Amino acid sequence: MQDDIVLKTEDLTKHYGGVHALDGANFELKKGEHVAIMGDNGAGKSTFVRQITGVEQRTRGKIWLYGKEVNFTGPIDAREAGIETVFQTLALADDLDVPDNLFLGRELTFWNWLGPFRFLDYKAMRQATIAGLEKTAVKIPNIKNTIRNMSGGQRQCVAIARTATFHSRLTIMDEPTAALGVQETEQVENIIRQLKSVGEPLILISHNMRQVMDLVDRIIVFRRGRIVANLKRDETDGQDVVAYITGAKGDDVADVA
Amino acid sequence: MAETSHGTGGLTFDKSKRAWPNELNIFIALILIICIFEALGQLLPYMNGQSLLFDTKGRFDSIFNEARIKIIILQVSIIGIIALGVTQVIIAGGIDLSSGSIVGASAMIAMSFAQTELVNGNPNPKAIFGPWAMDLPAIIPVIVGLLCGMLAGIINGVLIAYTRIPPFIATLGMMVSARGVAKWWSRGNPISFPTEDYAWIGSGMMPVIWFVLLAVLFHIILRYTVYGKHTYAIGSNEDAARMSGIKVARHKVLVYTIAGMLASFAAIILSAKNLTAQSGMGLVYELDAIAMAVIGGVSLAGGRGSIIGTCLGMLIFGVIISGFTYLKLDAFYQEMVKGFIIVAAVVLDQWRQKKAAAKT
Amino acid sequence: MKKTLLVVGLTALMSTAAVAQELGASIARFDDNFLTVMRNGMTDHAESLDGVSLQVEDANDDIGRQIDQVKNFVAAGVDGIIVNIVDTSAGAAVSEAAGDTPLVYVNREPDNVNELPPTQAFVASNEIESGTLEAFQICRNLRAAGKAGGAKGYLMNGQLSNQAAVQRSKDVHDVIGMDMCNFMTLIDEQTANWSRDEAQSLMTNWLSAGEEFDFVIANNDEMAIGAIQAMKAAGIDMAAVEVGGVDATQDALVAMQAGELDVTVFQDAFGQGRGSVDTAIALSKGEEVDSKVYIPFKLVTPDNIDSFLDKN
Ligand SMILES: Nc1ncnc2c1ncn2[C@@H]1O[C@H](COP(=O)(O)OP(=O)(O)O)[C@@H](O)[C@H]1O
Ligand SMILES: [Mg+2]
Repeated sequence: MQDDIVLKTEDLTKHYGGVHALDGANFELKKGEHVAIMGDNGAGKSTFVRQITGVEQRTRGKIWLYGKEVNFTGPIDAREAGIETVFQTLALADDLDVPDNLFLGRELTFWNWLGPFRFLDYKAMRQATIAGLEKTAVKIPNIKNTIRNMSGGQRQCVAIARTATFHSRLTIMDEPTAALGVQETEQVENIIRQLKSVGEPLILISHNMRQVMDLVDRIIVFRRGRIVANLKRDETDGQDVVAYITGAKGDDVADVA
Repeated sequence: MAETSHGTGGLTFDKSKRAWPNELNIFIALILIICIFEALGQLLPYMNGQSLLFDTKGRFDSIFNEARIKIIILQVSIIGIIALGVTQVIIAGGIDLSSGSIVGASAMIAMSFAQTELVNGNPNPKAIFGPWAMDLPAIIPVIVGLLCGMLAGIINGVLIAYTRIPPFIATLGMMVSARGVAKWWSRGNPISFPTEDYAWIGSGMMPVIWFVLLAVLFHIILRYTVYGKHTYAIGSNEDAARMSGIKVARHKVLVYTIAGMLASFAAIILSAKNLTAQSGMGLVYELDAIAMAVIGGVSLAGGRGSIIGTCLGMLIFGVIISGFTYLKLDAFYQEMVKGFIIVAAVVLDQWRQKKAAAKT
Repeated sequence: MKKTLLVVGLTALMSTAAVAQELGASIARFDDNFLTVMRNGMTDHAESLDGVSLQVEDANDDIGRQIDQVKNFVAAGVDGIIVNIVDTSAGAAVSEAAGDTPLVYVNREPDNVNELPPTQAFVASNEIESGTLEAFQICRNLRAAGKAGGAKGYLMNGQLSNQAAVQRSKDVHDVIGMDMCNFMTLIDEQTANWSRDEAQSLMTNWLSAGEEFDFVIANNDEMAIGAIQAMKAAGIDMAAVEVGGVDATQDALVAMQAGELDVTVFQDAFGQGRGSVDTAIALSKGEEVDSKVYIPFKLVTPDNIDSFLDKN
C-alpha cells in the first residue's frame, strides 16, 4: 500500500433489506487531494459517507485510513481517528453558541477529578475557536450567538469550522451548499479553498457542477449504488460528467475509482 | 468597545456583542408586578395607603417592610429548591411530574427516623418505630430522605433513558406510586415531633439559606461544567448530542436523579419546618415548580433557561402570593392570576420560538 | 391425612362464612389525618368483633371511583357498606348504587340525608357544633382577658370547596354577630387549605402588615399550629393571643400543653368510625336504626385536656 493514500475502500457495500444502496465501491483518496462525489438523488452518496464515518455498519467491504484497516463502531470512533464530517443534517445544538458546538462532546476542561461536574475551560475553547475560524476564513459576526440565531450559511460555516479546529486528517462534506444562497455558497467555497491551500484532504458531495469544476481535483460519479466514473477534473467537462450521472455514458463500471 | 479580529479572508467577527438576556425581561416583569401591587396599595381606598415592600407606617426599623420581604422569599424557597431540579429536567428536554409526590414519600420516611422520644415529658404520641429509632443524629434522617429521592430519580431516569417511555408518562407513574408510598408508610397517619437538631434544618430563615446555597451551586454547575453543557445540548438537539459522543442515556439518568434528590431535600426542610410529615405533603408542588421555571423563561421545548431565570420566576410567585394577601383578596383570584401568568409565560415562549424559527 | 385437613379447613371456613358479617368501606381519602383516625376506629372495632370482616378502600377524592367501589361491594355480596362520601352533593347516586345492601354514611353529610331509605343511615357529629364551640370559647377567653372593649383577629378557612370549612366559618361569623361577642372584629379571612405549611405562610404574611391582633381562629388544628409556628418565629407572646382550632389532634394537644393553643374541639373521629361499623352491622341484621346517629363534639381547653390525651 502506498504511503500517500489517505482513504481506501474495497468492495464497500450497504444493503437496506432489499435496497442495494451501495454496491462494491472501490475508492481511493490521496494526500491533499480534493475529490467530488456526484450523482442523482438516491444514487448512494450519503450512504457511502455513512459507512466510512461509522454512522452505520456496512454490509461488507473493507476500509483503510492512512494505510491502517479500520472498523468504526460509531461516529465518535471515526472522529477520534481524524475524520471530520459535515453531515447533510447538521449535527448542531441550536441553543448553544459556536465554541460550545465546536467542542460538544470533547470539551476542554480543568479540575477533571470532578467527573461529570468538571469545569469548562471557556477561554481555551474560545481561543481555539477563533483560531479555527481564522484558519478557515469563516465569517461569523458573533461567536457568542446561539446557532438558533444564525443563517443557514453561518450554521454551515460552524459545522465546517469544526473540521478546521480539530486538524482533521480527512474532511467530508455532504451537500454543504444545497440550502444556501449565492453569497453564503461563496463563503463555504472559500473555506474549501482554504483547506486545499493548507493541504487537508476533502471529499465533497455536491450537485453544483460549476462548484465542483472550480474546486476539486477529481470527480467520482455514483449511479444506482455503484461508482460509474472516475474523472480527472482537467480531463473532463460538465457535459461528460452529466452523461455519466444520467446514465447516457458508462454502463460498464469503473474498476478502481 | 467592539473587539474585532481579522480572518485571513479579510472577514471579521465580533467577539464582544452580546444578546439581550431573557432574564432581564423576567426581571422587568417582576418589577412591574411589584409596581402594580404598590399602586393598588395607594389607590384602593380600604388599603389606607399601605405599601407592599416599604415600611410607610414606621412600624419597623428600616425603610423596607423586612417581614414581608422575608416571607415573600420564605414561602416559595422550598418549592424553589424543587424548581432547581425541575429546571434541569426541562432544559434537558424532559418533564418531571413526580417531584410533589417524592416530597410526600421522602418526608414521611425521613421523619420516621427523626422523631424524638419525649414530647413535653410524655412519650411521643406519633412514634413510628421503637426506641431504637428515637433521637438519632439528624444526619441519619437526612441521608435516608436523600436516598429516597435518589432512588425515585434513578427509576425515573432509567425508565425514560433506556426504555424510551416518554418523560410525561414515566414521571406520572412515579407521581402516583410515590404518593402511594407516602400513604402506605404509616397507613396515612401523620408523623410528628422531630428532634431539635432535625427541626433546625427548617427553622427560621434556614429554608432560604438552603435555597440560596443550592441555587448558587446549580447556577455554577449548569453554566460552567460539562454536566451543564451536556444538559443544554441534549435538550437542544438530542441527535446532535448523541452524534457528538455525549452519553445521552447516562446523562438523563443523572439529571433525573439530581431532580429527585432536590425534591427529597425540599421534603426534609419542609418537614423540619412544620415539625411534622404528612402523606399529603407536597401535593401539586410539581406544578408550582414547573410554573416557576416556565415563568422564569425555561423553555418547555428544552435547551433554554437558567437558574437565575427560575429564581426570578420563583420571586414572581412569591410576590403574587404575598401581594394578594396584602390586598386582602381571596385565594380564588390568586389561583386565577397564577394560572393566567403560567399560560402567558408559555405563550410568550412559543412566540419567541416562532420568531427565532422565522429568522432562519 | 392432608385431605382430611383440607376438608376440616374448608368446613371451618364455610361455617364461619355462614355467620360472618362482611363489610366494605370507601373512604374519601387515605391521606387525611382526621379520616385516618376515623378509619382506624373502624378497622380496630371490626377486628375486635368476632366474625366481622371489613375491607377498606381509598376513593382518592374521586366520586366516580367511589360509586364504582360501592357497586363492586354490592357485586361481591357484602352485608353492609360504609361510605365516607367524597362529594356531599352526590348522595342520591351513592344511595342508588348501594341498592338494597345496607349503607351507612359516615362523617360527611350527604345532601339526601333526609330522604334515606330504611336500609341506610348517617353517622357523624353535628358540624354546626364545632365552629360555634370554638368561636364562643375564644370569645369567653377574650372577655376573661379584659378585652371586651374590642378585639381584632384573623380567621383561617379550610378548603373553600369543603362543606365543613364553609359551615365552621359561618359559625364563627354567627358567634361574632351575637351581642355577647360582637366586640370581636375580623381584620381578614383567607384560606390555608387545611394545611400547616400554607397557614405558616399566611400568618407570616398577615404579620408583615404589622397590625395588632388578639385572636386567630382556624377551621382546623393543623392550620392553628401553622399560625402558632409563624407567630413564635416572629417572637409574639403566645399568652397574649387566643388561638383556636378544631379536631383535637395529638399535635394540637401537645401545643395546648405548651400553652400555645387555647381552644380546640374534639370531634370523636375514632367514635365515628366505631359507630359506623356498629350501625352497618345493625342494619345488616335488619334492626331498626335512627337515620341520623350523632356522635357529639366536645370542647377541649387546658382545663380538661387530660381526658383527651389518649383519644385521637
Ligand atoms: N435507512 C435506510 N433504509 C432504507 N433505505 C435507505 C436508507 N437510507 C437510504 N436508503 C436508500 O438508499 C438509496 C441511497 O440513498 P442516499 O445514499 O441517501 O442517496 P444520495 O445519493 O441522494 O445521498 C436510496 O434509494 C435511499 O432511498
Ligand atoms: Mg444525500
